[in-house]
Amino acid sequence: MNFGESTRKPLWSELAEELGRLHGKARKAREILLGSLSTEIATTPFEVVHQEDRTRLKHYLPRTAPTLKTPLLIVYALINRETMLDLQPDRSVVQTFLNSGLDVYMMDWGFPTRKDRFLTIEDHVCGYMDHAVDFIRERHGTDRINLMGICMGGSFCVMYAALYPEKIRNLNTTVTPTSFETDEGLLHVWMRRLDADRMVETYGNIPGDLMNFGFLLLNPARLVIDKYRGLLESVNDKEFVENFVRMEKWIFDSPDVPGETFRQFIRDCYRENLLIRSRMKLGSRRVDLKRITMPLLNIYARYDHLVPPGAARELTQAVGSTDVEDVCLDTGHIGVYVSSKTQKEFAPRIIRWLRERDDDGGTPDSGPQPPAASPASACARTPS
Amino acid sequence: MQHSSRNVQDPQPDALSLLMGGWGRELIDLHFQVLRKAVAFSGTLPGSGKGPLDAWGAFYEKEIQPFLKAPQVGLARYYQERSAHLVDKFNSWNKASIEFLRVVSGPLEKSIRSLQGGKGNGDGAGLSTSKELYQRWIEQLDSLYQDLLRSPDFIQCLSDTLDALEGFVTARTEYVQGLGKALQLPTLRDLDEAYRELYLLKKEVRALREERAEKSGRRSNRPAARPASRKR
Repeated sequence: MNFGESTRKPLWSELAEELGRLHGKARKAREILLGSLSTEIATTPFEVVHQEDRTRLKHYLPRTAPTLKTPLLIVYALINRETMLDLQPDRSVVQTFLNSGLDVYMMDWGFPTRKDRFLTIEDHVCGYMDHAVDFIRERHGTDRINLMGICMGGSFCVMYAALYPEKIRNLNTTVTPTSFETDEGLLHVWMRRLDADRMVETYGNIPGDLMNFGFLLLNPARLVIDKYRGLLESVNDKEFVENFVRMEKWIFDSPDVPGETFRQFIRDCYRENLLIRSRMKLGSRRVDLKRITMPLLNIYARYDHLVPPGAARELTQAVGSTDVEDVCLDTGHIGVYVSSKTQKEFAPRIIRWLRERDDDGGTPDSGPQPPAASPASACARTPS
Repeated sequence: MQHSSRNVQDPQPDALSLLMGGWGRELIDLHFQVLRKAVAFSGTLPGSGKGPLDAWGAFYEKEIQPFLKAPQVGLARYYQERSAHLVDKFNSWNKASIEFLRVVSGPLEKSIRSLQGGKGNGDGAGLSTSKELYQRWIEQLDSLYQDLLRSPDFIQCLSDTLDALEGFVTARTEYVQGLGKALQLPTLRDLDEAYRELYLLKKEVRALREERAEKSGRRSNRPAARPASRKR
């Protein structure tokens, strides 16, 4: 035997062994996939307290006595669904908030139909969002609430806070694009070349499936090949499969985007970058970021391929507030919410930050006052 | 008396032979034309992947598309036009999507070839476990895709593909709506007009409600809450 030679097996031998292992895995996988899997998402109980057209305002049922005086409204993007914040019990931002005594409301944008194609950004921000904010303020007997926005929902929150600063106590933006003049992200490069007008004229509302395809195209090697290779690798692990299926359920659950909203977002934000320059208009009102004078916590992700750091971090310099903080997490766009590592960092950080700025002191109220003439607000836990 | 078949005053035998001659000549010419074009087209088949597609595109635009764009006549001309338009747009979409797939599969081919080339060098250090091999391949593939997806050529291809898709979708919608018209089904345009009016009316009602609330000194600019009427 020549001791200088490598003792590594030839490739064909490794492949044969791998095939043998796969056979065992396949048998186990069949048991798992054909057995009962727990893949429900968004299982935290809530009630729908307000509804307007297709949008619903969800109020999560408190788990403890509230420890913060100010209720929190979370506004998700129009792309994909807000269920991502409550994907699974051990990775639920909503549950973390509830366990810490936050009173949590969430905007559910619903599923736009052709009827909604003429809705603009103004309708969403100054219409649905403003009505939801007023509802919460009235319900809690408070002048101001906390507002948290995610991705495009964060952009909406920024616009809202600039137009109605008197209604917002604290503003938290997470993975929120506000400055679009960057080539860091592929999406920014593509969107500038997109003929949004033609798309809206053709489709009315932009189909969710088309957007899904576009998102997959951003990183085909990882999202189309490697991801499913990872599934095959761990298909004999029931917990892994359940988590994987939950993520798949969420990621391909894409409502259409109202046409006029899409058109304006591409034109005013991606093409002309009006938002960060305080030149964006909603109707006749200019969104002046200097009017954002409440505390701002801006969280973004270092490896975010959809909202790169360059698109998110300029906000704190553009607002009028002096109490601003940028936090950059070492994760990607979705990892901010679902990564087990950031679970310990992300939500607790927000809670701490809000607690430090929760009113001038005094005991928190006992929660929302029951409405005088209570409509039948169904306790709607809607497992998916 | 010999009856001359070539007497020009007697048209029947001459017309027949003329017709046959004429038709025959045309038929033979047509055959030769088709053969020439087929040879020209097939000559591009081996070699670069783009050649046949471009040749087909040129052939389609020159030989087939003029028929589809020829003006239609008769009572059913609008339906004929829309059918021809749909077929034309479908072909354009087909061509664009094939080109798109060709471009998108480029990095796959390159990465596999590069992996094979590396192994074939006989470099023992290049050989690795299947996992390492896969890892190397996926990283290379990822890198190739990131270069491709930012390139101006790809962005143009993506834009052309989207244009072709939108052209086909619009043509298909018009065609189907044309058929639906016979059943008195509303078109998307009809619905959009109704939706737009509804949208504007709702805005007006909200504005009037706000104005009334402000005048009466009460700020109530949201509609009354109503229970969730549907669950998903």
